[in-house]
Amino acid sequence: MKRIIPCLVLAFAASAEQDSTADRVVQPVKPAVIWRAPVNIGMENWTCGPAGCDYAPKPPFQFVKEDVEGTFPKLTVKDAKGRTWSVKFGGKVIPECFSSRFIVAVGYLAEPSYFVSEGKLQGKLQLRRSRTFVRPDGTFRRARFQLRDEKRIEFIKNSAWSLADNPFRGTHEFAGLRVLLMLLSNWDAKDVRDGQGESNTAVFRLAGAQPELQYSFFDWGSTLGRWGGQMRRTRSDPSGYMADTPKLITAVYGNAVEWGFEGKNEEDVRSGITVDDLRWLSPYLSRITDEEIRAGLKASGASERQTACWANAIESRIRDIRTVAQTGRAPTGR
Amino acid sequence: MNFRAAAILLVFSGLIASAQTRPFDCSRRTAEDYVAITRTERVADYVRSLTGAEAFIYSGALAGYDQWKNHPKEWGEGALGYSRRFGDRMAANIIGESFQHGFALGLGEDNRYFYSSSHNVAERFGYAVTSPFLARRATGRRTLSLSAIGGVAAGSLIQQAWQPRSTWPIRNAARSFALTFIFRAGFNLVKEFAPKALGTEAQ
Repeated sequence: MKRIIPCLVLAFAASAEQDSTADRVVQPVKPAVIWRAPVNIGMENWTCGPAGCDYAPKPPFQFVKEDVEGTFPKLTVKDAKGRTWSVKFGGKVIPECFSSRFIVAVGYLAEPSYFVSEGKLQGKLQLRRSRTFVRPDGTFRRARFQLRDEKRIEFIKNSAWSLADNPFRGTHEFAGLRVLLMLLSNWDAKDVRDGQGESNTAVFRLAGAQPELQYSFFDWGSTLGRWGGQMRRTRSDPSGYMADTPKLITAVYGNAVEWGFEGKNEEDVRSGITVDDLRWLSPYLSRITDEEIRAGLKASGASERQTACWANAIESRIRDIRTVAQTGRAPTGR
Repeated sequence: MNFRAAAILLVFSGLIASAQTRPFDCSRRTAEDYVAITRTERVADYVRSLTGAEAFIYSGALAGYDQWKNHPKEWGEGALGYSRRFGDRMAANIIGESFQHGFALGLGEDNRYFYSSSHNVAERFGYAVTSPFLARRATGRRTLSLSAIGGVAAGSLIQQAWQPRSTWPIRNAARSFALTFIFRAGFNLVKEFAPKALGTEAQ
């Protein structure tokens, strides 16, 4: 009997595994990537985001449900074209809309996000946390609409990965992603070690003739502010972002670059980045013009003053990275 | 026009001119940059309100005023009198801030001070002086701050528990309530026009 029970358990487990694999459609996939050479779609990427102007959310908006998990209130909404959107309000609006444009311009994956200055939700509104942002008549202001289109980009559940241990460690592409985290002051660099549900890293399946898996850092809402611990960090804060700008690169020792960035998993974000990595990244950053950055910020809901402040700081950070890439030395004065 | 009036006029016209012609000011987080407060930020703001430099400067200033007025007289003058008054104000601040942050969490109010977005001196003055009575909602809209009024009232009333017998509790609580808001308005003016003076800046 003692031998029969483990055998039965094993047989049951094997049959369950067979059932689950039989249900899945097996598709050939290319090897996973973390970066693809950016396709320059010009100003449209900045004014309308990586999916282009045709994909912009079209009113009227139909309320579907409220997601009560996570730190921020979030709604699921359908637009006039039947597309599904994840809608957020508050401090993540400008950072997510702008960062999605910025990181796609450099070759990394981001879900398309649009800024909607005002609108009205239709349908029976059953709101809890979002009540502070949506009035009883359904009207709202300043929202971030993020496209949920699994036919284009499918979020693979439970695919969170670690910044400390992944297939791309030691590559320029992975270093480039970490530089972007610091360049945009993304202090919320949670990965699989913080839990599958908490992680901001995931693998996405991209549609196409041959589906492709792409590793991605997908939450850019905690950017464009001050980096640091709980008492210091902010998001969507032009003055805080500007104040941290001179501290982005603190020193260069030989080929090793030292960063002033602080945030979650900071050691894994800033360590091991070399001057060679910056030489690889620099041409992609240099292609981004001042005009494009300003257009992206404006399209993300930034005011004239905020646009000027953020654009100046971002350009200064890019200049510092380029200086290190070109000279192998820290920017002047550091 | 005498010399003093001319000097004041010159300083004010210089201030107004510099305020109106300055380019975009990226050095301060203004009301325009307001984003809804998160729970983590509420905790950080609460800790800062109890342990930050401003809490000590603020209690020290109020204690200084009480010392000047020799109120309450039983606590006497000199260093011992001042230290009693300072302790009294610190305790009232801790109680008041604790109630205020609790009420703010429940009511969805945000009492943090953000610099005015205006370049007009008079508007900035009005903004700073009215801010102690106003809180922001998640959308950034300013409304009467029930949490600040309730918190300061609670702190002022509980403070009477250890006051000397010569003070009449309700009148003394009303005095403390009024003084707290006057000093908060004064501190906001310093933050708005001389942000580095307190060694601590607005949000």
